[in-house]
Amino acid sequence: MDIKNQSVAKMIGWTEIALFDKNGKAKKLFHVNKVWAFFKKKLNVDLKIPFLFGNWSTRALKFNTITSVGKQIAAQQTGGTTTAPVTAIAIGIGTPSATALGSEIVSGGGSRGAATVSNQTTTTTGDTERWIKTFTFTTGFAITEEGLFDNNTSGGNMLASQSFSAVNVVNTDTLQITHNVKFA
Amino acid sequence: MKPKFEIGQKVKFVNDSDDEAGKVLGFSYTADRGFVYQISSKEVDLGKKEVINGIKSCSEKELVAVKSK
Repeated sequence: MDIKNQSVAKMIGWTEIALFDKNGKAKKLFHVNKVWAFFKKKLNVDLKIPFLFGNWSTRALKFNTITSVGKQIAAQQTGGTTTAPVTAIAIGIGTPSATALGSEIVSGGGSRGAATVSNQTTTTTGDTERWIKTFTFTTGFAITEEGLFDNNTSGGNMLASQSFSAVNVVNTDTLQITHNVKFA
Repeated sequence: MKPKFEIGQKVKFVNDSDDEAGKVLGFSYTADRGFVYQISSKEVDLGKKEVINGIKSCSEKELVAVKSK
């Protein structure tokens, strides 16, 4: 069936990451650009060179990848043919595949958990779903990936994911992940 | 079949701290997942310094009751 000339809906996702020390002081993160993403994908290198590969900021923002199964989840949610909403944020130290994180953190305060989900407005009323989760660490990690899942503890389907320049956290640090998915 | 938690009861996700507890807003039952609860949840947007009101969806085994102070 030719659907080219029909009304089209898109899913656009992005994540904001903020890191704080035990006193609540914001730590700077490397906010990457498309050049960084190209080198990361082709050579798997994490180059933190300001201006060329991004900039240091206290609030890093990055667009995500909506997975194929994520499109299926969105379609199923629209019609109610699934009973599993996307409820959790997970983080890891690898590179995400099409279906899961490469190396999900399961200890040290970085375990997957239920996020606070709310409906927000970006362009038109209620066009954006937002997930927020705050991790408080008891161990150090170099976090490089994040994903949204329909299971609060393990496994499940991954709606969206992203990889980013390593965020180095230490014991007592707090990392807040805000993941938005807008329908346009 | 009876739900373990009642509407209005204070509960939390198993891995969360007591400070992150919320109230049961509602629940549904399906054969594959059992009882799934929606609980009230708040997050402070640390960057913007504003409170975000939302919900958490958790299965029965992922929740524990919290005593109201």
